[in-house]
Amino acid sequence: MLNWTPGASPILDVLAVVLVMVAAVMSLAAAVGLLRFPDTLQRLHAGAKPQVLGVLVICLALVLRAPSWPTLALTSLVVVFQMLTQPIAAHMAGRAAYRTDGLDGNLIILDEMADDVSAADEPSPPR
Amino acid sequence: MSSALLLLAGVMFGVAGLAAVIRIIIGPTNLDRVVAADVLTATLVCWLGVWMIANKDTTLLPVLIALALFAIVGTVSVARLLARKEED
Repeated sequence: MLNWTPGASPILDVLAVVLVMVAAVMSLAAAVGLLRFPDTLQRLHAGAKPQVLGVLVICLALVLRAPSWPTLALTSLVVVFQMLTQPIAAHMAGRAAYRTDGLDGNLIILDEMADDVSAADEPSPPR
Repeated sequence: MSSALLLLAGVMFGVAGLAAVIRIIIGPTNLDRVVAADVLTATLVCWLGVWMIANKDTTLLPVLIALALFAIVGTVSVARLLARKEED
């Protein structure tokens, strides 16, 4: 599976491997959070970390390993698309989780959303 | 040395993907499953990146772009479906 060939320079290779390890540790931490955390919002919080930063670090490592303009252009596209789409996905999932009891009310210290929801439910007073 | 470390990274991504699959199987709500599927996609992107870094081969970059673009579709559609169900 892995046929190691030396890259542009040994220093860049070492840097790339270090970045890959950073992404691997982050991904593993997200997996542990995904398995261990008690409600949907917390699991979302744990899972969203490697989705942007991990992919960014991997793409950076790839550019360091194979430094060329096409590689830089395509990895930039990957990072830009990931940064555009993942916040939207996390926002939508969090919104749906809040509305479908995806959070454990006993675990939250401050729920600022509850005030707004109850205020929106009550009929507004006449002016 | 580098090869061994990259192999270790590949194994770590594999464990992360396995954890996401377990959460997809046991997840109490469909939203949990969707979030776990998103994490699985990100792990897959990272794993393909490690393969490319190890082999110094950028053939798979278009696959990465497609995954990064379309990972959003499942999450958003399921989230909207659940939100609409709640309103009924």
